[in-house]
Amino acid sequence: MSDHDEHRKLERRAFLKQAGMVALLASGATWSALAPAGAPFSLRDPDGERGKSKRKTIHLPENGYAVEASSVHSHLGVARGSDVDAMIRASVAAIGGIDRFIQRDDIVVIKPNVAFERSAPLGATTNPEVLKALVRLVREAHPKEIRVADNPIESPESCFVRSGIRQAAIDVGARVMLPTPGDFETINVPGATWIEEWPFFWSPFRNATKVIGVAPVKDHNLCAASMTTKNWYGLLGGRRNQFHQDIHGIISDLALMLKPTFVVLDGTRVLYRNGPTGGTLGDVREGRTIVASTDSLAADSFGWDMLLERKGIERPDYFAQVAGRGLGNPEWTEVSIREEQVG
Amino acid sequence: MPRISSSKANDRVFVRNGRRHYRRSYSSTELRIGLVLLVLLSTLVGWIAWRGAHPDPDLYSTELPLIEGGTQAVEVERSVEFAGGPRAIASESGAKSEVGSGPLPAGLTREGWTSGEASRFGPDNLYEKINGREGYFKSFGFKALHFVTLERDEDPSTVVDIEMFDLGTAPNALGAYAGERSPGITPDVDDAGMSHIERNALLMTRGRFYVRAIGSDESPAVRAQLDHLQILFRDNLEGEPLPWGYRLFVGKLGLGTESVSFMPENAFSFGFAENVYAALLEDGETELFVVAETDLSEAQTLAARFTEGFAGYGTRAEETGGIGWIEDRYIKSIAGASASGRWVVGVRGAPSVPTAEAALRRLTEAVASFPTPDGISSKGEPEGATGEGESPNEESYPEESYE
Repeated sequence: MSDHDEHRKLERRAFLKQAGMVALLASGATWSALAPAGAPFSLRDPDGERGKSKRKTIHLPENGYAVEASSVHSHLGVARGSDVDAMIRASVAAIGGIDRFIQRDDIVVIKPNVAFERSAPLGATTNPEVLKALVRLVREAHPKEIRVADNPIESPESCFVRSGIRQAAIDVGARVMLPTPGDFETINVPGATWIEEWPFFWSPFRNATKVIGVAPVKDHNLCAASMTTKNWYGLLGGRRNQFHQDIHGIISDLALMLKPTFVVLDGTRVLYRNGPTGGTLGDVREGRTIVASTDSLAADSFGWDMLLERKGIERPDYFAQVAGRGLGNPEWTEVSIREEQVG
Repeated sequence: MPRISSSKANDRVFVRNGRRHYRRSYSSTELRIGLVLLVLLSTLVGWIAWRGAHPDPDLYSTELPLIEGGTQAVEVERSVEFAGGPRAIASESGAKSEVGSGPLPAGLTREGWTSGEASRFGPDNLYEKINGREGYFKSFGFKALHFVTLERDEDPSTVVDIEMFDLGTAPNALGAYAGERSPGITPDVDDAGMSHIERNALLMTRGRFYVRAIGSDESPAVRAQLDHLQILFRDNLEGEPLPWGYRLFVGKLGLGTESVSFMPENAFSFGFAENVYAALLEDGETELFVVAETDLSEAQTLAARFTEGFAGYGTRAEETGGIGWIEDRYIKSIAGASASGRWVVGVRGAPSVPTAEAALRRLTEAVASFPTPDGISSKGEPEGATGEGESPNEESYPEESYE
């Protein structure tokens, strides 16, 4: 056999091998594309579910952001007066002082209620002076960073500007974090009825070590009262208005979702009717009170009785639901309290 | 015949080592282009990975329009300029003059003020504007909210928000207005609606519209703008005479307009109680209420349900004049209801049975001589709500109620 014949033979063999490989690959690709969804190596995705990226879920710390319980300090610190700085200082001092809660290098998230595009005197949002005083106090503990965040359904920019919260936070050197679609992650809340997995305004909580809620005292059309526990509603994303069908249930879930370091009930103004939006100054009365507490529910019960002045009227159902989960005491008279008149 | 090389190294048809390259060097331009492409690709990959890790939370929503093929039930008109090009849509909107954006009249601003863009919210997205409060307006037959902000040129933080609720009927608008009006406020009443200015806000009704103009403060500039709006809306929104409930309580019983309220549904937290007019008596405790039914039999049935409902919160006190009075177990007030012709009449919040009895007698006598226009219906009350010659403003209303 000549060299030429031998070479042709080799070429034929190589050709057949490579053609065989191509045929094999083509068959494999065809199988993957056309085989039933459950078959081995099938890539069929009739409803598009397989193609979706798997959502990452985040978890808040198991015990929340609370500090160790104390038998020495009061659960509820109540300060009355007109000097907001002094009132914040006195109320937090009553529950152990800022050094009990915030340490150097902490990253602190402060969550005011900025739900509506209303000016501060209308009482629908946290008083910016209270926020300022709180940030100043927290700053004394030398945290690494203080973040102020909320997720209003109305335009966040407009709500933060109109309510005065944006300027207040900037004035005292806090970082304002407004929500954008990319700031949300799916939170997993084990045991929650409605939000076991739900979009959550996560960016402010990234690496955060302490969380403080500061909420106004408001009448609420659906749940009768919006105070510190309801305040966490502003961290949810998605179509959260659907929760209004079980407003008490979702508030109970919120208490399960977030266990704060402490809360501040801003009773400097009380929106006592037509809440949660209000509108006229006639809906607002001066409360001249600030409450700091490690027990949100106890703070809310104080607000119901003493600030909304609804003592003796049946409490909203969510009080019992939150208490039933062991997440707070619905009777402020049963927890240790220190009251002070200041300013 | 061309000679085929026997050298496998030069075989270009069946290249055995596909990775082999034949160039010994590359130019620096090629290197730069390669690096740029590499950076671009890396950036693209990084961006895709980041977007994938931070999905839009709206993607998780389960809005019906998405499920049903993307038809948005209610549109939001976020970019409607109403400063220029007013248009007349009086027949559709109830406005009787040229208007700017929907039923909002033109000329909203005084000198020194500028209006923003108008927006409209429907039942499906009202929560975006007043989350948590939308249920209140929906209970009054909410159709649409037309919203615009007026801003003071000198100080942009001084604003007036105009919220114009279309509630379908005048009784609904009056009911919503009555529910939000602060206690002790006496409204201005004219032949087509009510209004008042309270500190930083103008609240008014005009036909089916309930308008709130909310100032950021109560400065003279805001008050002047509110005064301007009050006149503007009065002159430009078509009203309608106050409904029969007002004629009964104000015209026949001489109560103040501020004491009257209207509950289109779920009155006193009773799911069956619809289209209920109520009025607080002079003692500030006793409340009369009335419902128009189609006939005596219907009225008797409904009155029995009211009695049963009250009994759910209390115990039988005593029976007088065929009415079983109920004492509330918590606040010890007295309530009861009965039928009088086609009317269901009732009392709640009375401090004692004799007071309740006297109040109910007063109401029963009033409805006995009250004209019952054919149009009154327990289900859809407005048509014929004012009978011929029965305009409250011409005949039935006491003079002082207009002041």
